Amino acid sequence: MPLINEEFRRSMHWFHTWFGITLGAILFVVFWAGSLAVFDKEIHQWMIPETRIASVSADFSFDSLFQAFDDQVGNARSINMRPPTDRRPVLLVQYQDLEGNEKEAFFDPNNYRLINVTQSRAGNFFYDFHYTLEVGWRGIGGWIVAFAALSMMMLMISGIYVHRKIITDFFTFRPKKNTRRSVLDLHNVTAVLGLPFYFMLCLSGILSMITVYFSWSHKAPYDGNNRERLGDLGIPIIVPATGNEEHHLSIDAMLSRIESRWTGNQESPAKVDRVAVDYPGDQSAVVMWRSTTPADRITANNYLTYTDAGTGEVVSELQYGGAQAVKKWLLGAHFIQFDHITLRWLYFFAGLGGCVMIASGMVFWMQSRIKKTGMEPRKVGLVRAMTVGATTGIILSTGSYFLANRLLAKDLSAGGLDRAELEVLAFFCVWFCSFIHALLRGKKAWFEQCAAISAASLGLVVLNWLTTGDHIAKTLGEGLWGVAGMDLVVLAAAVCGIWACYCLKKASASSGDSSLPGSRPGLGSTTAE
Amino acid sequence: MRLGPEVLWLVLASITGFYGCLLLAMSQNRNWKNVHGESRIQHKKKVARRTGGSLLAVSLLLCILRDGGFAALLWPLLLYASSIAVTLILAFFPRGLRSATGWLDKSASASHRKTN
Repeated sequence: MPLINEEFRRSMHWFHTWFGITLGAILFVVFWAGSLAVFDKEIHQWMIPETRIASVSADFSFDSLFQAFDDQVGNARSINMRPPTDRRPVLLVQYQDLEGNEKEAFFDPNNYRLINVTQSRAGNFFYDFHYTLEVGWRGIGGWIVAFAALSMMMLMISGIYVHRKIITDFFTFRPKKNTRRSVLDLHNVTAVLGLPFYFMLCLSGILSMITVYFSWSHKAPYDGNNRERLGDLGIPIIVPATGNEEHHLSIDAMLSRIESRWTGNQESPAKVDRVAVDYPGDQSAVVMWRSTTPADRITANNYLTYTDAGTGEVVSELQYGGAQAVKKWLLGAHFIQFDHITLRWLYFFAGLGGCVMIASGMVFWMQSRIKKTGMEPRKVGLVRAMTVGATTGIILSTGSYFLANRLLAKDLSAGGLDRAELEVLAFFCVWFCSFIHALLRGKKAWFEQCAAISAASLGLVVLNWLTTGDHIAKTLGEGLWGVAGMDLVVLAAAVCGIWACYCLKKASASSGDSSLPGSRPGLGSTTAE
Repeated sequence: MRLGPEVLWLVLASITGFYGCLLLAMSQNRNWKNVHGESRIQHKKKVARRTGGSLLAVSLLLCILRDGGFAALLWPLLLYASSIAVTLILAFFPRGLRSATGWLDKSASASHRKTN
């Protein structure tokens, strides 16, 4: 009896259908947030206009930044300095104040002046939402995403068995056939062609959180001895401040020594991309040098060195090899922080392709249920509401998040929430309302939410112009590529929304459904779903 | 975006990737009929498949020459984009691919030989 018989195929079909429909909404959200997180720093520039700096001085000094922080912000328990990059043209200092609160400060790289920025989580929100779903309680969001990612890998494998004509249908999309067939074609094409990429993303995504999912695995061998574990990892135990002041060496002077130590005989030089100092100025101060996201290679987190701030001697150094090197490559491929604009756009479009794959799978299931069971379309209202809310709903809520950013006053706080939290609140309120709207409006919700997406997108471009003076021609002229790119993508979203409205109206008219505004009854077998 | 020969490598890698995918699509009867019509069924399927596969290999080589290690991501994603582009053109403008794939038509080659 062959292993892959009809019963096996049926089992795979069952798994593919029910896990797909159950987790489809979560997977869409994860793919959507991940696609946006690819351009997190560009979104950051758009949402925090004070960080839009066209030209950055080539002479950057960590010592000057350290001094500027000391003068303009004050003392801190630890500071983490990050130099400007093409994508983030400001100096970023993440620090822990003396009370232990985590904070951020931005400095102009041309004059080391503290920038009074608009409070917003900007692109970081999508980055966090991608793997936590903003469900912080006991880290359950991360577990849900992990389960969804693991299921996604199994869904892709089961999909290969479910799809009988995988080779024949390789380049097949038939938009002129009935809607159900077209939607299935779209699902197959995006899934089959992108399968290796999506599989890699799911695997690397799970690997990136492996210490959360298997938190015991790296602690168990040390029987609770954290000091020994950190020692094996090459991470020094930070000694609390002694209170004895000591002038530490120049960071800039140490910088070249560390970089040349890393570079060795390699062709491409390793650049420090973050410098952290614990207990700055104190005798126990330790400087952490890190090259987390090298610009010229995929592999992440290549170099990590700790030096004594007083003597400049290397305290410890992290060396990767074997399985860790493979893991770091996969993490680098997932986090995509390297400097490769072509790959960045390809990741973005492939991510959107993943969204199309998931949404088309959900819509196909819905239409199949209606056809096979003869169920009245209104009885699939809950599933439709879930599908609409998870797809067009989240796109609309993303638009509302950006709209809130442009509309809320700079120093606004209300109900105990600061401005950044209010933006996130706007996102979740609109998202919730999109589900309710879909439940109440049924099939019409597709059209109405697509129309709302178009209106919001057009409004965003205009609002960006009105509130900052940066219209597309100006940002393109000044070389603010991140801001111009964001405006152009938002405009493209508006065009896609209008096109979707047109298609929905046309499909509605041909199926004789007069539920959409302006549609005319006619003949045909397609529906506006 | 880096300018210079790297842009040229990228353009060449994209073109070879796209044309490779197109030839692989043309090696299938359904797509061939879609582009050239029902009457022209005879075409060089094996040639299309082999040339298409070779062009994809050339595309990989160009990606490696341009980007070294990045080719591990660039090549599959370029092929994904190329495949989607080929699929969409086949769906919406199939006739537009006639001239690009006409050389695979067996009957056209035979009549060309006869006239010579």
